[in-house]
Amino acid sequence: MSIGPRILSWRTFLPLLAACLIAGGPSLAYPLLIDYTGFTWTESDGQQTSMFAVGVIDDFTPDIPDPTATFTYFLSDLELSQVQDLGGGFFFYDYSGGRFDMYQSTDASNAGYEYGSDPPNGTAPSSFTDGLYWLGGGLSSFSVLIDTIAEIGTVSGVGAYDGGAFYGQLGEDALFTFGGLTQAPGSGVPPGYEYRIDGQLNANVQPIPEPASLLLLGGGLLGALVRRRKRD
Amino acid sequence: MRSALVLMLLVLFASSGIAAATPFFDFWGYSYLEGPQWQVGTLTFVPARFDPVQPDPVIPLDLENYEYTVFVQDLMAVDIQTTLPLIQVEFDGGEIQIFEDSAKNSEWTPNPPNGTVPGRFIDGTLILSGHFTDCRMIYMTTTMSGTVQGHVDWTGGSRLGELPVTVNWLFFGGVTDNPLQEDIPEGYSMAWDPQLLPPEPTATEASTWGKIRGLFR
Repeated sequence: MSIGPRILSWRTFLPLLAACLIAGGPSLAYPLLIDYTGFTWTESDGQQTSMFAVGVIDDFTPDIPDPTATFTYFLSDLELSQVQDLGGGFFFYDYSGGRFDMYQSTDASNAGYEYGSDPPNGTAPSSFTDGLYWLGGGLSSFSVLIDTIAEIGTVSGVGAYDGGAFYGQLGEDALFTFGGLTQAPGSGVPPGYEYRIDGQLNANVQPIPEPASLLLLGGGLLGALVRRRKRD
Repeated sequence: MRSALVLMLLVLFASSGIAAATPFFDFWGYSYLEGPQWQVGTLTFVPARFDPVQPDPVIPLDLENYEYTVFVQDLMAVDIQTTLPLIQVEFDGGEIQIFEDSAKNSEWTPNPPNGTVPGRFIDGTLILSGHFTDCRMIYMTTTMSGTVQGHVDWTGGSRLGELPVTVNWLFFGGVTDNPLQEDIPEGYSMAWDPQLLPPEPTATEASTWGKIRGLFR
């Protein structure tokens, strides 16, 4: 007698199927790339200078399965903690605190947000923070390098995701972002905003197992079992 | 004559108040190098893909049926200034092409150039081609992130005639090789996240007929 029937008996099949259903079958975490664009501004109350940005998410790789939804974001409350003059017109800014929060609204025309001018205003950030709170996190460090002569800069930040409708699908909380800044001629920065920003966020996603995959796996096991029993 | 002048001044006044969003193309990809990093003479190549959402595209795009891919090639590092933690790279040359392809087959496979890179980024219809007139990268070694900015003149492609302006487009975006950017495939140098923006229209300002006549005296 081969070893096959012993392994593939009803007694072993049912717990195996249950284990597959509970564990969700074979699934690997994968990086999710979130591409964003928008505009920054700063606010100062004389004591504290803070940086903000609003904009739109224009790509998820791999795709998020809702092509009709518009995703927007609000980068908020980055408090300036240190400025370093690197010479040659370069300045390095360290920020503490801050959040990066994303929102989902169903809007096929992608017109559900409005930058306006001189933020904060009637539509910014409010038209970027309406809809479903989709994913967000706190930033533990955020830095900006500015070349004041060329009017360009770069941002980089790390933190941890901590909430939103998509949060449960993350395999890890780690958040990383990088991006470019420009206010050079031709950058189209609306009045009252400071820089055009274009960057990416990274997330690590634990995929939800597809029902079809589970059915295929269960069906295959069932078929093998029936075949074995017929043969016996 | 008088009513025509009044009408012209009204148009001047009205147009000065219009603030339209600047259209742009948004895309991302990864760079690979021919030569060592941070060395004069090294060439940079960037196969990239348009984002599926283009908030304000410069020309109409059929993103449902086509993928739009970008290939930047032969950006040569001609000057590198290192004042740690800052590195500045000046590039010379550099060409850029944009393709429209119904195959939607672009993928960044490891260790380019190879059988699919840049091949699958330069198939389909060449809709725009041009060259860089300047390009520069600033990079922070502490954050392993930076910015690239330059200008592009468009000279060819099937949709060249649809562009509002063909010269002096702004090319700008973030770059990183921080290991926290987990998606950078093996053999690529950095993740690039650029945009292309046409120059803004020349601003108008209100004036009087007398002042305009005075300009020609």
